[in-house]
Amino acid sequence: MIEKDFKIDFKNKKISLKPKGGGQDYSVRELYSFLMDLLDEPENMKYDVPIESTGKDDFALINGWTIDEKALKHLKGGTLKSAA
Amino acid sequence: MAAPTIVTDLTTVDTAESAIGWLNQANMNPTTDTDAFVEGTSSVGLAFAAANTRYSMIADLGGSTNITGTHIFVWVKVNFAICASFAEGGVRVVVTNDNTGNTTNYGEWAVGGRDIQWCQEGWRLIVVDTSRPFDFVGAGTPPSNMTSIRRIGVSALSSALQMTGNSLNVDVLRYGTKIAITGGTTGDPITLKELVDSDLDPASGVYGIVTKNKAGVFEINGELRIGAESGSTNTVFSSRNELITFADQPAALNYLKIKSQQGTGTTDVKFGTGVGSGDAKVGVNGSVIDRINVVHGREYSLDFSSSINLVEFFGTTVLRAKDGLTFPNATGHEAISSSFVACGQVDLGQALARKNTFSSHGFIDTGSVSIAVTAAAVDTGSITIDVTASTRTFTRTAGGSGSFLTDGFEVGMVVTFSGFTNANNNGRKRITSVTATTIVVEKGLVMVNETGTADERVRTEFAYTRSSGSFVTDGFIKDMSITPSGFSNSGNNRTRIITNVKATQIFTRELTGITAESAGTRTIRSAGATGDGALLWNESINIKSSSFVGISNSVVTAAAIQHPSAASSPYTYDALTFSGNDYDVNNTSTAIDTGSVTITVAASAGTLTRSSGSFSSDGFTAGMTITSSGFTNPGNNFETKTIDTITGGGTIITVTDNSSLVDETGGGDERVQRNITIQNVNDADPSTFKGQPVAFVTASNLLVRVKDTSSNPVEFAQTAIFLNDGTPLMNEDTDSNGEASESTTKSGGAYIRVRKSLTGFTKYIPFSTTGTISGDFTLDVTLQEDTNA
Repeated sequence: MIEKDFKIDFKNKKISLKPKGGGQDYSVRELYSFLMDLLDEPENMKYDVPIESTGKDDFALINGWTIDEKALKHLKGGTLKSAA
Repeated sequence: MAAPTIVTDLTTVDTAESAIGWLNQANMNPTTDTDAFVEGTSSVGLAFAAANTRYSMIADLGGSTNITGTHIFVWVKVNFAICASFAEGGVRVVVTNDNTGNTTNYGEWAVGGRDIQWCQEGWRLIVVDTSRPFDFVGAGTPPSNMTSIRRIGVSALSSALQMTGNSLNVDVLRYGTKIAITGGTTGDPITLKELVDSDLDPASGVYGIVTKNKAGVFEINGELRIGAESGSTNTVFSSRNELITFADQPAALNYLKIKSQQGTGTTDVKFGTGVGSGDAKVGVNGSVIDRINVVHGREYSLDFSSSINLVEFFGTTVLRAKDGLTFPNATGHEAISSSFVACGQVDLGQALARKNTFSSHGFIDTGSVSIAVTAAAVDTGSITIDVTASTRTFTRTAGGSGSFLTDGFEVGMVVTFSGFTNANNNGRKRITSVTATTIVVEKGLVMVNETGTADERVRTEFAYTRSSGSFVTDGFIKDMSITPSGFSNSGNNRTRIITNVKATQIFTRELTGITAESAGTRTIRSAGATGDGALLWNESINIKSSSFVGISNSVVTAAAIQHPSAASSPYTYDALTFSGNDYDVNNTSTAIDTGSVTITVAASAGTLTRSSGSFSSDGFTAGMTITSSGFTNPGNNFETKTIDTITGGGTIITVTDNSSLVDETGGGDERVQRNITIQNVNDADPSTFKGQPVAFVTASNLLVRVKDTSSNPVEFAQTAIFLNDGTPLMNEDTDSNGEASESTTKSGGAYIRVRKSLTGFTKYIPFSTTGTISGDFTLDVTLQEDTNA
């Protein structure tokens, strides 16, 4: 379950690996779906969307969001770019 | 066609199938009458054998019986043309503790007379409250209470003899409290017509709780209960396109009503039919409900307050329900396209209420003023008066001085004549015409020509009198039912009908129990237990698109909507319009008020800091809406702001919106009060209030319509609007029409977001844009499907 491995820090706009996470790899698309599903909850509507789809299996972090190296290592399949 | 089942606790005293067991109290024995009856095959009757004579028929309870707290239900028919008038005691219901024809030990309640409408129309069910004080008593020992009654019956005072046939008939006689109707289904509901058709069959019960007059109007004669009080019986009652009136009965206050009840089954009460759905639904085929109470002055109520399955009011008009109308305090009920005219307070609970009209609510009220009960307020004193029996005329002798008009006599007054030699020229009579020298009285007891001897007198027995102010200006009028209060003598506080009203005097039709009492601070108010507001605002009310019109009285105190609580402020008035009301809102919520204290404003922090006392101790809490006053700077005297926090040991209020605030050091006369804030949307226009503070603010409608690229509405799309400072104005799912709506009183730059990426549903690319909220705001959004999510 991706939500058990990735931590979403809305305040600091940062995606990171949970301390006990990392037991499984995910596609970037799975991360995208997870974030989209998370961001349409009422309590998260005040936050900017962190990611956008730029093509099939191509995604980009936007609105100042970042992802740390440990988390990045567990993303396989697809591309994730920084909008900057 | 479903015939209702009648469920009742009434005890039948006598079915009047035979005169055996009935007694008279002298003058004429009752006989069995097979020609006139309403129930069974006969009634009990007697003929008037002479004029100016009391006749009675009394049935046996079978032993001393406690009838306290009950009503007596008895069918009566009288030959009104040979009966004395109501004021003289034409027709009465009689009770006695004796099991004999004792001629003096009785008490009686006046119920009719030749001038009373029902006496002129044949059989009538009379419903008498046994707690009423007697209007007449025998010379012996009348019952001192209702705990040991042995016989009940009917008596009458004749004005002529009848050669053949009966002058007075009595049929089935009962006492008790409850009559309920049950049965019916949604497809075949019980109705008033079916009730009347089945109940008034002589072979049936003939309880008569509902009758039908010659014009086809259904008359309710007491407390009509709908539904089972206990048990699993289901009931569906329907009334469509009917005229319903509550009859003028000598019943207890608050007894005339339709009351719903429900056991373990369900009870549905439906008036009219609904057409359409949602906010477009309208009501048609409704009934009209009213009352007549010009003699006994009883008001009625529609009491659907108990928790029942369904109450529907579609296209129904309720007139003069002075004791109010109450819906269950629950959702699922509806009141649509209905009118509530001159009613007491209407409490719609949480019913879906649309397109209703509330008008003419408001009681007539003296307020607390000095009022006395004055004996002989209008009085000739001892003068010479002649009687011309044939024309029922009392004449001040020719050449005499004085004038009945100058004395203050008027048509309609119940006056007392005394000093005449002939007994039947004396007593209470009602004036039908008056000139300076003559008074003519209504037909009744046979009078006798008489020449005055200077000791005759005409007077009113009692009048409510005031030394200042005006009953006329206050709005009191003839035939109005009034309830005085504050008098030491309880009889002076009884509800009665006005016969005549002058600036400083009110005269009533029923006089039993009135006693002279010196002036003191009292109140006279039009009858009916009514709150001070046409509509009671339930904290969970669901009302839109309704009008409040002409809610006014002559003392300019009537209000359209009463708010007894401020707990949920701010409130939204959605398309509620107001016109011609004394007050649109009456805020009767408990006052929370600092009084005049020293309060310092720090504008940038949005704080109000008091130098002594505690906002918390005064009752203020976070979330309350407040009004401030007494500040030097106008911006600090705001109509409404919301408390964000209370800190500093209760001494500091921080408001959620510091706009308009200016730094100011308190001077000692600043004040903060809790208010209720009314947000007006969709042209709602209340503007006046009384009671605790009310702030009216015009709100903006926010509407976001979401569709997909095929123009289909998108449901469950999370839709949010935030001001740029983060203040949320909307954050909700779209409905089945793809719409999300809210109202707000805030304005400014905003960002709008629509997102739907829910697992198991079509997912869309998030939408975001910016805008400015400065009034009504509508945004159409087209979402693109997200095939990557």
